[in-house]
Amino acid sequence: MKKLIHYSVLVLLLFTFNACEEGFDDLNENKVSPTSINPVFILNDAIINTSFPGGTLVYEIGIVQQIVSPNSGVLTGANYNQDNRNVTSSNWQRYYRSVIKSTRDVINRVQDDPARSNLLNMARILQANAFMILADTYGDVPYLEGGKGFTAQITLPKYDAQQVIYTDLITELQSAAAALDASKPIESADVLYAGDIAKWKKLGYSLLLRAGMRLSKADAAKAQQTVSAAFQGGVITSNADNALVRHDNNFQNGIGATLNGAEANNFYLVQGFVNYLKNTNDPRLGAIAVRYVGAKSGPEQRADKASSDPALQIGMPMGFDNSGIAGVAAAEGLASFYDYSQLDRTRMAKLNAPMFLVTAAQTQLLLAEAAQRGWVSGAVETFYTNGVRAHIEQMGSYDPKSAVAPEAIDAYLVANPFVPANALEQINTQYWVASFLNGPEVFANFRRSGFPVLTPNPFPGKDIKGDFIRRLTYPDSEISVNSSNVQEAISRMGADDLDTRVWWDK
Amino acid sequence: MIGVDLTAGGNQLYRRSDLNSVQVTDFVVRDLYTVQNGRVKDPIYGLSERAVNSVYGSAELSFKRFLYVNGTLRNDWFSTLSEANRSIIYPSVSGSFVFSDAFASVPKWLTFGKLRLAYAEVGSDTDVAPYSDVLFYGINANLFANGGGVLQPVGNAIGNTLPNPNLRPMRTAESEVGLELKLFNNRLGLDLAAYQRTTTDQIISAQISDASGFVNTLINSGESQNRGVEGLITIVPIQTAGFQWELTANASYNITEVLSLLTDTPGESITVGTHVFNGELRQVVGEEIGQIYGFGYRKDAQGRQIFGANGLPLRTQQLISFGSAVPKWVGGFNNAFSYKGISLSFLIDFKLGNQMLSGTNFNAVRHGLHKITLEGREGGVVGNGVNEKGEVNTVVAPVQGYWEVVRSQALIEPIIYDGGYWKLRQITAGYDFTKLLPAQFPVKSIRLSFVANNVFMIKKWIPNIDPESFGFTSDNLVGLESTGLPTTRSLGFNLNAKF
Repeated sequence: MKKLIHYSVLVLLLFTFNACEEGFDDLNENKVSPTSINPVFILNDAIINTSFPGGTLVYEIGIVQQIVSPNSGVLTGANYNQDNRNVTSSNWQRYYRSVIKSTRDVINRVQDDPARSNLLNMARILQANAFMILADTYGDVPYLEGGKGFTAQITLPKYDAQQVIYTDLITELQSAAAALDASKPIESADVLYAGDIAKWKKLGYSLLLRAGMRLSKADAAKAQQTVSAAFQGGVITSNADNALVRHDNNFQNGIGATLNGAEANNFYLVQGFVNYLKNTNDPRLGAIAVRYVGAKSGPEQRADKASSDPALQIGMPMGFDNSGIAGVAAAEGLASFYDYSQLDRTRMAKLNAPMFLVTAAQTQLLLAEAAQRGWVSGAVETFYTNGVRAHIEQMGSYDPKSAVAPEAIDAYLVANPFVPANALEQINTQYWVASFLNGPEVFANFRRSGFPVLTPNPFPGKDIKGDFIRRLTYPDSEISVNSSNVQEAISRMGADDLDTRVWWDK
Repeated sequence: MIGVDLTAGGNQLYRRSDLNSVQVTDFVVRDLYTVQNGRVKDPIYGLSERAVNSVYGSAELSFKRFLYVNGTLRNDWFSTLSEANRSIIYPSVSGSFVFSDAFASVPKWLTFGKLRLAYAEVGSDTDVAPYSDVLFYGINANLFANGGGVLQPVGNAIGNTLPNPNLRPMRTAESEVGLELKLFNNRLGLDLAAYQRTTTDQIISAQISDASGFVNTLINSGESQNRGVEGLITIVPIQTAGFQWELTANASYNITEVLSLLTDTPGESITVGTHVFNGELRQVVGEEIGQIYGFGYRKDAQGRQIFGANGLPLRTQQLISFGSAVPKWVGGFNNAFSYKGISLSFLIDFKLGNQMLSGTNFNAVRHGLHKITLEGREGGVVGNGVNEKGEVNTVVAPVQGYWEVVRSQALIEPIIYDGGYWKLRQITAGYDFTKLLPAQFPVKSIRLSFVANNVFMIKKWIPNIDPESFGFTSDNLVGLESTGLPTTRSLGFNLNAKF
């Protein structure tokens, strides 16, 4: 048999197997993105993102009947008392993905560094605020395991009972505020207070006051004890100490972006809110509102038709969809529903308007209620007046054209004096005005205090069984990927709908 | 009569991507589109590099031109994986036996016959993005004023994907047996194959709870098994001096089952892709690959649809499966005729056995542009079913709200369809002008043909769109159609000249 051997080598192996991965470590190194940055820059990102998302217009601010849209689709929410899962998830996504993700990281990076102890405690306070918003919005949420995807590789966190969360938040706020120390290195790159320890302490104790007051229905003893500790620690007393995000053209105000974008012609001030301000001759109405008088369409909402004259403002009634509202507007003698009053998107809701997180007004009003309940010492009326005055004075920081003259403030306070017999209603109704545009807080305080007394939204097609929405629903993504933990929370808390009351609201 | 052929080699692949861009919005001077003119500027510079180094060798043995055995061995190193996991060695071996040449006494009608057997493994890093093992930070292009008005940097961890430092290369092992026959002097041809392919450690992006701070993470996803048969038959029913008719038909049946993910517990699932609006694609242990999941209409034990007190449809408590988005049957028929230089052929093809979520129909439904939303346009809809107490639903719901629940409640049931189709894919008609050319002409042959593609939909089950349309190309978004450019029909001429 003839043997034929054809032998060929195309390429000689000139390198050993070891050489096959030479340089790979260097190649797999990212040359344009660092693996660590100064953690205070990460905290800055968390601070800016603490500003409330535009989705709060659809639910929180609508539930408390300050702003409403007659339109459906993505704007379905408090206007129809219906469950729109595309929007109920907006707080969840904002605070877990853009705040807690960063605060957990900052805390993890500096917790063992004594030189950054102030940064650590600042991050703890900011994180507690984010968790408080989440727990107030949804009830039970991932807390102890929440936001630990990177630091502890927890990808499917368990949910904690809201009571457990509040108990720990109170400890966190108290210990972080106490541990802030002006003799330690100052974090001057911080964009909230430029590292000012006194201001951060006041913020911590003001949040502690807020957390304490939240428990007034569920656990009055704990509430009193917490409020008293907060008051002794020292809370925000002046607008100079307010916690706010100073939005600019690059880092835009979420509500401003919504109202200056696609939804500019879709949201209106609610009749009850406008009438409350109008009936008390509140100078804030002229600071907040605009009406494009005679506008027959969105494009007709032009500057030449704009008026912020309080006497001309007309709020939209709750309970109508966009076909129903047309007839109501006509009956009121308006050109169309575009003729109703709006939040002024060129002043208070401009793209670079500041967003107030915690203010002197809110804090003083909470103290007024605490004093009324006998939990702190001091005159209820003084706290009340300070609170109302602080909020009216705050108007000018949105825009110079919204500033209220001191004489007008005095006149308003004289005309609308504090009435002790009506203290809780009066204080919390003022809190409702003072928390305008802070959706999560105004919604939570309405549920807790029951004030202001609002007429249930009469829209006929509501999803809810009760009169008002009591919580927002979990994101569909959680029901999909974290279902066993969600189910555990639901079995503990109650159904995942808009009716279930959170623990402190029972 | 024994032949041996040895080959060895090395290969190096290097890819580098540089990205430089500036996005500008909010212009100072109208209609002037320059970077300088923008108030808000977002510059990006990206750089990524990846390399794969390989060495390989192969050997082929042949015996008397009817028995062949081929073996290969290859080692790859992936720069994208960690040092401990970046190397993978994988072999292959295949053999073929041309039995029509092996025996002297084969019958006359057997023109050619071959049996083949093969086993091959292939390794890959699944084209995972470089630097997927570490968390990186980005500094915002713009500074932000602190309380004192001083501008300060802002930065954060980039992206929503939790990095995984422990990724391993994936490995695919495939066994195949095949039979190739040519009979009656090539008038009948048959090619049959059956295969089984096992994929382990595929690197995929799995959705996680965003309460972790991240939206997804990369994992090595266990094991999946793909089994299938495919056949190709070629028949020439008529062949005369001037006329030929050739019919080719091919079909394959293929099923991929997920055997394990992180564990092999049946029902364990991961979400690999989400639709722009609602609905998602999952891999589920024990099920076919690519399950479409989403909320359906809530029904009672008797299968009656349940409506809320306001007459609107309620959704299921959990996401439910609507079946696999991957077709089981794929195939086609081609008929080719030729007569004295004229040729004509047409191809019919099909894909069957897959479900599809249509984003186009979803938009049509929620905006009231879909045929199914016509009922109750005047006076509202009374949904056919019961209320939560089990009584017959009598509540009249406004038609707009009735259909908008597909968006607000992520209800995908009305927009799930059978994604199969039969299509007249192609027609070609041509004429060969060669014989008309003068003998000394510089052009040796000329052939002109008319070609029409995507000619006619013979049968489909999904309304308003071509079942072949999609929004995004990705294995993780199979069957999740979203509004994209419609598919097109093309008509053209081919001129083929040889010199």
